[in-house]
Amino acid sequence: MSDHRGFVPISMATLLPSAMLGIDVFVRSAPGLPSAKLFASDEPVCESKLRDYCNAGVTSAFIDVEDRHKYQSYLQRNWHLLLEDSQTPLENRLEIMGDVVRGVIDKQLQGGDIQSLIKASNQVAETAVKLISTNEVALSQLCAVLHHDYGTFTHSANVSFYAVMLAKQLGYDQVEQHEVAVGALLHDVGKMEIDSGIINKPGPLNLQEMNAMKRHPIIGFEKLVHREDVSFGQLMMTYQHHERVDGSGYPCAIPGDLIHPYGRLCAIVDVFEALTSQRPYRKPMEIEKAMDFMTSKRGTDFDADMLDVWVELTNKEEVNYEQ
Amino acid sequence: MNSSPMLVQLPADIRARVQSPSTTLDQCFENRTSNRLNVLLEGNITILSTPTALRDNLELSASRQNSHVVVKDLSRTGVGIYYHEQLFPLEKIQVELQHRRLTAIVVRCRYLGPKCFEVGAKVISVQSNL
Repeated sequence: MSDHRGFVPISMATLLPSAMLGIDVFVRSAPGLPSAKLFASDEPVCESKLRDYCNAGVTSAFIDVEDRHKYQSYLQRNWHLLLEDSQTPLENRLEIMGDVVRGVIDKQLQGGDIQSLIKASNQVAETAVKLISTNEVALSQLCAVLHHDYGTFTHSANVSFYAVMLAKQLGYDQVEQHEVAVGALLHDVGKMEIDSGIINKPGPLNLQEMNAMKRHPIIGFEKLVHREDVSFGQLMMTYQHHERVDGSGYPCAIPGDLIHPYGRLCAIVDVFEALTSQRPYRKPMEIEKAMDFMTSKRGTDFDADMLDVWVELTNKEEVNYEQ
Repeated sequence: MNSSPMLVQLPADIRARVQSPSTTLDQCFENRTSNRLNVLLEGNITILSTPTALRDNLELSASRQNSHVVVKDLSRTGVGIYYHEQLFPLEKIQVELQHRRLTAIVVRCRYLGPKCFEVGAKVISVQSNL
């Protein structure tokens, strides 16, 4: 999503000293002011200049929207360096992870190749699990560094991170967390077949559009069901993430005891991500309000026990912030 | 055919609704290509194949195979049944009723109550005069 016409924001933390990005990088001294070039496409990232800006509190730079794919290629070439640098603060590493996963999923969804999408999902899930599972990541900390624009790839990436957090809190081991992370990255794969006019409509959907949209769990299921590399639980995340425990969901309207645990988990983090993200017709909801809303659906829409654990994560974050 | 168990349990309101067979003109609402004939026939179902990712994970109990089924409606291209367990899209089923054998692919499944799912399937072949 463009921050303003023609530009997209990137994290300063993703710029490696001496790296050749091959794209122009801009900074803006204040909101609304025109951007000035920080690094030209034919020069390496200057360490001292980068440090000066970072020390001055500048956290975002901008690139031309046309250069987005070059930037994603740069991230994919260097993400191990960026993420494994223990000197890099956790927030920055989470932010980089968000950018990388978002970029990878974007590329694969655009390509429409399921084989590549699953392969890439497994690779990025490994990173997500490693980072979230081995660090004390607070929910608001993660939420604060993720992008919240209205894109299926952004949504899937964010849902994946939240899913790992919830899975970890539920006591799932790292293998299960990985399985859940990949399943979450794939949960909206059926939207690839839905008319983009419906997906990107800047307003509520009419009945016909809603019915078309409601087919995405079935389409996603059909895309994945013949694959040997997709587990039953991952398949159910795609098929059942819109089911509700009181039987009011779709596509089958099954009650909670028939919904796979991964499907119930995915429903919680999917709705949380949707509420806390930008939509063309509404602003993102604050975490507290989103949790209030979701708590009001405890036991009707959402698995009561799992939601309690999700709420615990929010409380945990408050303790961390007070410390 | 009658040796298979009848495991589906129709909720009372559904049972009342399917008592009187009639033709439904619902294709406008449901985007259907053919009119459906509401029926209430007993048939026999066999699950012919289950896709890869489901095969090893579903508890395919004996009850999920070769059991009695209630056929809810029929059209030129589809069949609707009441079944006692959840079926998934792309599962291949065979329904035998009144000297006919329909082979069909599941396209949708909806929960109606304990031991009752409404399953819609696309007919891919019909064998008559069995």
